[in-house]
Amino acid sequence: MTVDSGSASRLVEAPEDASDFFDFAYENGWSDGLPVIPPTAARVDSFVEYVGRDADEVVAQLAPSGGEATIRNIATNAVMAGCRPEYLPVVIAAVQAVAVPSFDLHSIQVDVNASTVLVVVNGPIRDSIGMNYGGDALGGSNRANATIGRALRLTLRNVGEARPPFSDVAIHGQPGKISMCLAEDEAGNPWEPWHVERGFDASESVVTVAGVTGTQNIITGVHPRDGMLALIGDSITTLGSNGVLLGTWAHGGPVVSFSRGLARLFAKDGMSKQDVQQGIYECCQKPKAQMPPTMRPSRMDQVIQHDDAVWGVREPSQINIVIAGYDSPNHVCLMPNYGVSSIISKQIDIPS
Amino acid sequence: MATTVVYNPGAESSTSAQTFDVVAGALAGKTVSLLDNGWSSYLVAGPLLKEILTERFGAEVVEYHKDMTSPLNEEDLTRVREDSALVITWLGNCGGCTSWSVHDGTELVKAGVPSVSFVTESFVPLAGIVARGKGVANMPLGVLPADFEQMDAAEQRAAVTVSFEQVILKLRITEPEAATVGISA
Repeated sequence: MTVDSGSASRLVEAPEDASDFFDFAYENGWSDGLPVIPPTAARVDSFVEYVGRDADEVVAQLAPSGGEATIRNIATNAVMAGCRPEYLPVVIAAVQAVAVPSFDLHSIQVDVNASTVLVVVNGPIRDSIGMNYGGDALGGSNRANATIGRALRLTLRNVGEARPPFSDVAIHGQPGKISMCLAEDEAGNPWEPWHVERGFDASESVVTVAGVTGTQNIITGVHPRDGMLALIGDSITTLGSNGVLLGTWAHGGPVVSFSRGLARLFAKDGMSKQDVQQGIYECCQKPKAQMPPTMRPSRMDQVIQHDDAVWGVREPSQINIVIAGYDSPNHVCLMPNYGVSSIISKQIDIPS
Repeated sequence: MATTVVYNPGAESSTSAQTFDVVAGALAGKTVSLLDNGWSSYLVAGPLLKEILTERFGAEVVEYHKDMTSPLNEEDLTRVREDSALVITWLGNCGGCTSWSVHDGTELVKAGVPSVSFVTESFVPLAGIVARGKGVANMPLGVLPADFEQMDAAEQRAAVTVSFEQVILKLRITEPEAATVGISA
């Protein structure tokens, strides 16, 4: 049994046994290395029926192959990832978001960097599909978070055809290339939810995608408020990071996840989200003298420099604060930016 | 073995790639554009290519500088498209830079401008996939060793010289008549 490469999203014969099907899917390059659910016609059709859209509707073209993402092939990948039908609208919106040119999927899909896509979900759909914005929001405990992120990655792999070793040349890759998705804790957020900050109405369900290079834990709990901000700013300004070395190219910026407990500490002190961004920004600098020399002087043009310092971000608004996690204020999760990629938000079309 | 029927998760269709006749021919008196995307090796390769193209082929060389992670801007692309008899994009040596460097090359090939993208060995397969995704089945590549960027200047000059000889054959770049470069018999 073989699958014709570049074949249509058409029906093919495959083993019925779950373990044999996994072998079949893996051998044909469909899987990320983890087991997948067989995308039978009945399963895929039920997903398409749920969203009530034409199965052949093309919603995006995905780099590097320029493959057309249709409702059907996104649904197929969502089934394989383990999604429920009601997650599909989120996955479709995420696929559309990553295909926006300024997201630079062209680079993120194929790059040597450990780049991947962070998916953040806001609005009422978070609760209606049971997403996790509490403890372990990015970890392995919630079906919606895990499988929505995975469905996007499988779609990028199978439709965009970014596959190692030839069309995805990541030197190390990272676990977030399997799945990286969370929802924002809007009820616990003392400030505006992220999607509202980005121009949407609070009642809208929105998916936001960001190109990131992983996660970095920052222990904030044992420091005074200004010390917390200093540690976050220092971490953003790690000299070898993409955020610093490609700083002038960056359109997006790092995503910094505060727990509701930490956000409320700052809010209790009368600080707005903008105040916190400003406080972090002021610590996003390191003496220029700490930078090692470059082989080509013009490469320093890519580093944000002023006041005899190199900077991790261009301006405070590039520090994207998202609320998620346990109540405890002890830790912050920094998701450093990949570099050039813009952060893109897309309203989720929820079937009536 | 019991079987079932499943959907293929791949694309139903993708950009169809065409084969282009990429021939540069004689370059004497014509413009060759070098698109530098910031790799340090350009400091060696740029002057060397310039020297070969002007002294051996009688071409005029114009250099453009861009960053690694985006396409050539529209204004420069238009100028390059209108002015160039040959375009050399430098350098595919990572995922993003290969993607965008080859992207620029394919845009020009599709517009009928002979172009070649230099890439290091590790990124040749990716360059082919990107080019096909952009609709060019036979994007000409100049191939350099995988560790090219880490070589010293003498090694880099040698590698560029060898690779460019292949490009000359591939793009059928022809030597000028003696009179064209001012040498009388």
